[in-house]
Amino acid sequence: MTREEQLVDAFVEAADTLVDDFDVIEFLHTVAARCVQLLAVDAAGLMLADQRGQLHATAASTENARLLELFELQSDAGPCLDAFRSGVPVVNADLHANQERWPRFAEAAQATGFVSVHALPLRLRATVIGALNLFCAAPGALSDADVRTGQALADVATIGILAQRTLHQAELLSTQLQQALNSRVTIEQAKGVLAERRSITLDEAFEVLRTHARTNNLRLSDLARDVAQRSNVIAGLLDLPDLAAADSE
Amino acid sequence: MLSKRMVAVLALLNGAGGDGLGTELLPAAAAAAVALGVDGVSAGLGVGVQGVVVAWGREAVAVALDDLQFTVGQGPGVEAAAGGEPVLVSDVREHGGRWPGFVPGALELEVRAVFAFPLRIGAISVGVLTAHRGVPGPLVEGQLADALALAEAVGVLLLHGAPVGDGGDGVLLGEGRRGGWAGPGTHRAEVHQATGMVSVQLDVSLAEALVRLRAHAYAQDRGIAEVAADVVARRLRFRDPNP
Repeated sequence: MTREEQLVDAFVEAADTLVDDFDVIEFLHTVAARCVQLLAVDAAGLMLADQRGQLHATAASTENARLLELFELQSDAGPCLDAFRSGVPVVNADLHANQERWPRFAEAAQATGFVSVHALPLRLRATVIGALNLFCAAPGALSDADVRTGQALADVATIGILAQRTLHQAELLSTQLQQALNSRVTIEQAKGVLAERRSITLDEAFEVLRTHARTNNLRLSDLARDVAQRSNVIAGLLDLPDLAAADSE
Repeated sequence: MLSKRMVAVLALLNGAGGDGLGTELLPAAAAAAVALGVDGVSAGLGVGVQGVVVAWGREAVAVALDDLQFTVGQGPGVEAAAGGEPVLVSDVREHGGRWPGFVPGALELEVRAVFAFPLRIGAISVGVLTAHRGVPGPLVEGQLADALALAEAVGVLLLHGAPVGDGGDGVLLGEGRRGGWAGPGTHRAEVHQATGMVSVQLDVSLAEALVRLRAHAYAQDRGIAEVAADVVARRLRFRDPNP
């Protein structure tokens, strides 16, 4: 598939967000994965801001603890915070050169094997709702074309967030952001429950959740809520052998 | 994103929870009502007068509104708690068919606009924040953002500032003792992950698990994020002392 075909696919995916069973967290994961596929980057992630302007990691191309930690470290200083506050993209930022600017983040990112980073603002007209973070393990600047494509993907993510359906009221950006952030918290709780139940790592737990949601055509957020609350519907209805076995212990 | 007024309200709330939920919240409460352009606000654990933890503004009305919903089992607050999404009603008069048991009672209380926000931490349903106004009309975008921030703050405060229930002197063990409930530790992914793990370890609800994490952190004089990190790294396991 050519890159153009892949790009078209990415935009078609965005259009698909207008269906009923759309799940925003799953969608953001797809955007992150698309970034790695389409751009010369090795990892990607999206951070969204809560009502108080605090950034939270919402989805990453790889759901592993090390990468997620790189997002948490940006709460005080980092490229995402800069892009979010200024509304201006941070492009081709060499980690070594930015040691003073982002002390904890730059050190940890380099330790993970990354060499440069980029942060593109998630914009809706005059409002910035978060940032798309891109990481590169090889030196060499991201091309202008890649930066433009990256920004287009960031804009696609913003559109997707807005496309969330809410039951009773008009689509307002604030409530949708709140929903997305709360969904993420639920997923973290569900990861904990699964990891403990099945004696697996938190990263593995996420993959189990995601795979099960896809295989059984469930919204990731709905499944996460049921798993987190350990509702009866999980063991019986969904026929998840390991969980059912654990339930009967 | 937030109005200056709501920033001030949140700063006031940040100091609360250490010595008592009631008195410290009143100035914050009055300021919150003004910021949102409403007559009164109430926050409760669940719906119903027993669950109301704080009510301010037109206090008697706020409590009566909660009690009404509990009695008839319907209304914006009931729906918000059940559905997990805000229920925003600019004029209850337009919803007589939707809540036939609630609307007449609300009108008698001279309430026309009601805005209910579920208080949640992920899958934990903490309660509901309800704002009401005698003059009909919606919350404008800025007020909605303020209300959501307030709901998030109150949800955390209610859970993190609530008594740990030793059955004795009811001492409040809020994170307020260590830099405020709004400290960065409260929101770390590890805290949520640990909540899930502890709920399985102790076979309790997520809310109870979070309370137990907090109690442990307080007893050890450590931050909740630190304790959570230990749980996640499996250096610390919670066991039920009375299985």
